[in-house]
Amino acid sequence: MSSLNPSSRARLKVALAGQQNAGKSTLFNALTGARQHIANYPGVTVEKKSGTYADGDLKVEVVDLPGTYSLTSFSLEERVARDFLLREKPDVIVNVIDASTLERGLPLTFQLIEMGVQVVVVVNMIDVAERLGLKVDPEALAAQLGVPVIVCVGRRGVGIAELRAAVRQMASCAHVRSPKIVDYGTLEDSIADIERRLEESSVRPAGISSRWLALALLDGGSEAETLLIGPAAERQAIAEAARSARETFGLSAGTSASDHVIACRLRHALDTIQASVQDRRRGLPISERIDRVLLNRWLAPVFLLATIWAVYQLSIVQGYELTKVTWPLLASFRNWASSVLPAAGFLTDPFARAFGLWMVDSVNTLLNYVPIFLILFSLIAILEDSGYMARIAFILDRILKRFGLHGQSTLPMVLAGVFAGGCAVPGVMATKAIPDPRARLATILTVPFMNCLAKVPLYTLLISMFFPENKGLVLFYLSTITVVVALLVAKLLTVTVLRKMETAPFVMELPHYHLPTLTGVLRRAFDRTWLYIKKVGTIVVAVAAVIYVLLQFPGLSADRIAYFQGRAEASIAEFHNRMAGNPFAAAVPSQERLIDLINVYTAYRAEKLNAGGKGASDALDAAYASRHPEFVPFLLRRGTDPNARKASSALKTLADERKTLRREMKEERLTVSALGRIGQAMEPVTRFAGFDWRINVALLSSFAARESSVATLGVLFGSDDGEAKRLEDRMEAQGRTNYTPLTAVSVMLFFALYPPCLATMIMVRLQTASTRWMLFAIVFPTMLGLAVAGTVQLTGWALALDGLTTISVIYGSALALLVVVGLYRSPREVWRTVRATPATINTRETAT
Amino acid sequence: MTDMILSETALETASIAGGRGAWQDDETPARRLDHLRPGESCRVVALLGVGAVRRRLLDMGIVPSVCVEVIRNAPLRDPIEIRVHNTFMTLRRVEANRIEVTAVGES
Repeated sequence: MSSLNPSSRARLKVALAGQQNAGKSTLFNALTGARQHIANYPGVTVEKKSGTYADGDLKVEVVDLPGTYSLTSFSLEERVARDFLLREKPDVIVNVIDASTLERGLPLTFQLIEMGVQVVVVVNMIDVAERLGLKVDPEALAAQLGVPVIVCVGRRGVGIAELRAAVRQMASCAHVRSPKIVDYGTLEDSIADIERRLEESSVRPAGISSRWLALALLDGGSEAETLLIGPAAERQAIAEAARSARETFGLSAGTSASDHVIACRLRHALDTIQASVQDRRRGLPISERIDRVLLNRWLAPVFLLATIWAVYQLSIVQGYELTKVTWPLLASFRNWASSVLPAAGFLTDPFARAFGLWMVDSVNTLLNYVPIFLILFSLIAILEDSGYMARIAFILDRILKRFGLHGQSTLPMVLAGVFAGGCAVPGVMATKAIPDPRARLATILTVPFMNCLAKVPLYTLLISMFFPENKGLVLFYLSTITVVVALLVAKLLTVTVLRKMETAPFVMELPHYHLPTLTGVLRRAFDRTWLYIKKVGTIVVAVAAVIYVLLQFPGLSADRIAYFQGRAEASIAEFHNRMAGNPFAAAVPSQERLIDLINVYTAYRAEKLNAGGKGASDALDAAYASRHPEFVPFLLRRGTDPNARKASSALKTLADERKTLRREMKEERLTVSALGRIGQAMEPVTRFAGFDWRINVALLSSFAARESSVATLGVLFGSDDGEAKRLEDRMEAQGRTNYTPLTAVSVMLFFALYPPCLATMIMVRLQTASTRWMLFAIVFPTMLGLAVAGTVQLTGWALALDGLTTISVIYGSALALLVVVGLYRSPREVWRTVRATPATINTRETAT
Repeated sequence: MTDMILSETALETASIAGGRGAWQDDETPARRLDHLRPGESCRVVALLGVGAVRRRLLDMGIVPSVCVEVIRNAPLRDPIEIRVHNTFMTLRRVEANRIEVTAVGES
C-alpha cells in the first residue's frame, strides 16, 4: 500500500449524517482516527469536522455533518447539512441511526433515499438495543430499505471494517436506489404532478431527485424554492403550482401537507421496524429504573449536589495536590533552563537569560494547571458520555430558564468553572449545543464570569495573605458569587439587549445511560486539555513577550545605574574585607570567579528548596561537592572550621545584598517602564475602586491571559533569580504591608467580573460571528467590575467595615437580588402560562 | 446567525397555518399534555403553534395519533419527562401546553 504514490489514489467523499446522540462523532473517530480537521462551515458558526482514511488505493475523506432530525431548513444545523449534501455532492452518505430508537432515525433515512444519493445505513449502538431487548435483523432492514445496512458498535470499533467495505462498494456502484420509498397516499398525485413539471422544465439542479424536490416544495417550510435554478418565470410557475397544490391538499385533507408528509414517514418507519426488529422488551428499561432513583423529586437535588461536590473534590482539591507533585518537575525545568542560559551578572543579566527565564516562568505558570484540567475534563467527559449531563439539564432548566438561560447552559458553565476551576474557552465552545439562540448568546456572554482556573491562584494568593483565618468562607463567597452575578447578568441581558431575539423550545432527548469507555473519556479530556495548551503556546507566549518589552522599556537612566553599581562595588569590597586572611579566599581570585560562586550558591539554594526529603537533599550536596569542590566551604555549612563558617556567612551577606539591589532595580525599572506608566496614568480613575498602579499593571496584563496577572504580580513582587518559590510565599513576604483586606476584596471581585481573556474573546467572536458582541463582552464586564469594586470601597469606607464584613454584605445583597429576580415573573411569562381557554388560544397563536 | 433564524421564523409564521382543530375528536374534550400527571398516558390529537417549535416536536416523533406517556416532573415541576415509543425526552410545560391530547388512562 505504502509503495503507491498517494496522488494516484482515487479520492472519495463521504458524509456522515444522522441525529444527535446517534453516536456519529464516535463513529467518525473510529473511522478516521487521529487524522481530523476542524473548521467552520462557510459563513456560519457550525463546526465542520472532516478527516480521512485510506482503504487500499482509495483515499476517503469523511465529513461529519451536524446532527439533524430532518433535512428541512428549520434550524441552522439542518440547513447546513442539507446545503452540504446538495452542493458538495458526496459520493456516499453514511446515515447513522441509533439502534434503540429506529423510529426517530428512519425518517431521515427516507429523506436521504428520496434525495437520490448513495446511502449506507449504519445501525449504531446495537449492543445497547440488544440489552434493551430489541433484536434488529440487518438483512431484513436492508431488504426493506433497499440500501446496505451495517451493524456497528462505534465505541468498540465493531463493524468499522464492514462499513469501510460497504462504502467502497457503494461508491463503485452505478445503480442508485429509486427515491420512491415512502407512500404518501393522497399526496402522491400532487407529487407526481410537480415531478412531471420539474422534469419538463430546466429548473431542477443536477443531482437532486425530482421526487425529493417536489416533496420539499410541497412541504412548504423548506425554502425549497431557493434551490431552483434557471429562468425566473419557470421557477415562479413551479413554486406557484406547488403552493396551490399545498393549499388544495390542506383544505381537502384537513391537515397541512407538511404534517401529512411527516406522519407518512413515521408510519412507514413503524412498518419497517415491524418487519425487521424483534421487540422482546419486558418491563422498564434499565435507564428508567435508574432514573426512578436519580431523578426522584427529593433525591435528584441530593445526587446533583453530590456529583458537583465529587467533581470539585476530585479535580480541584485533588488536582491541586497533584500539582504539588508536578510543580517540582516544572521547577527543575526552570533550573535546567537557568543552567544552560548565559550566566547571570552581579547586577544585570544578559538579555538571553532574562528573556528566556521570563518565558519559562510564563509557560510554567500555565502548565502548572494541566493535571487539574486533565482530571476535570475527564470527569466532565464521563458525565457527558454516561448520559447524566442531560439529566442535569433536566433538573436545572427551571432555574436557569428563569434567568434567560437554558438547561443545556449547564455544561458550558461547568466547563468554564462553576465549581471554582475551569476554562472559559471550552466553555464558550460548548455553547454550540444550546438550541435556543437567545439563551445561547446569554450563556456565551455570562460563561466568562465563571471562575476559570487562572483566577483561582490570584484568589488563593490574596485570601491566604489577607484572610488567613477565614480562607474557606471567602473562597466560598468568591466561587459562588460569580454564579449569582452570571445569573443576574443573564437576566439583565435577556430583558434588555437580547429582548427581541428568537427563542427556541426545550425539547431534548434523555439518552439511555451508557458506561463510558476509557478511550472515549481520555480522548475528550486530552483534546480539551490540548486546546488549553495550544492557547498557552500561541497567545499567552506572544503576549508574555510583549509584556516583557513593555516592562523593560525604556529602562534605568545612566546615573541610577551608576548609583546601583556603586552600592554593588561597596558590598563586594565588604566581602573581600571579611575574607581577608581567610584561606578559602583563594577560591575566588577574580571578580568572574566571585560571580560564579554567587550564581552557584543561588542555584544551590533554589535546588535545595526544591529537593524533597533528606535523601534528595544529601544527594544534592554530594553533586555540588563533586562539581565545585573549591566552593564546598562556602556552600555546605558543615564542620567546625571557623574559617569555613566565616566564608559561608560572608557569602550569604553578599548574596542577600545582591538580591536586595536587584529587587530595588527591578522595581525602579518597572516604575519607569511603559506598562508602569500606563498603570500610573490610570490610577486617578481606578483609585476609587481601590487599585493602585501595581494592581492596574497586573490587571492590564491579565487581559492577555488571566494567568499573566499572576505572572506579572510575580514580577511586581520580585521573583528573585533562581528562586522557584511559589508566588504565594513571595507575595506574602512582601505584599502585606502595602494593601488592606478591603483592597484585596476589591481586586478579587473585580477580577471575578473582569472581561474574559484574549483567547476567550476570540472564541466569543467565533461563536457569535459578531465583532459587536465581542466588544460588548469586553466593555460590559469591565464597567460592571469597576462598579462593584467601587461599591466595595464606598461601602467599606462609609460604614467603616473591614474586608470580611464588606464582602459578606456585598455577597448577601447579590444573593437577595437573585432571589427577588428569581421570584419575579415577567407579565409575559404569567400570560403565557395562563390556563388555556379557547378564547386565549387564538390570540396566543398569533401573538407568539 | 441569529438574524437568519429570526427572519426565517417570521417567514414561517406568516406562511404556515396552525393545524388546530382538524384532528379533534368531538366526543372527548381535548386536554393539554401539561395537564397530565406522571403515570398518565394520552394520545396526541393536534399540535398547536407554528414554526420551529412545532417542527421540532414533530421531528421528535410527537405527531397526531401517537401515544405519549408522562413519566415524571423535574424536581421543580418543570420541565416534564415523557415517553414516545421507545424514546424518553423532556420538554417544558410551555411547550407541552401546545400539545392537544386525549387521555387513554393509567398505564
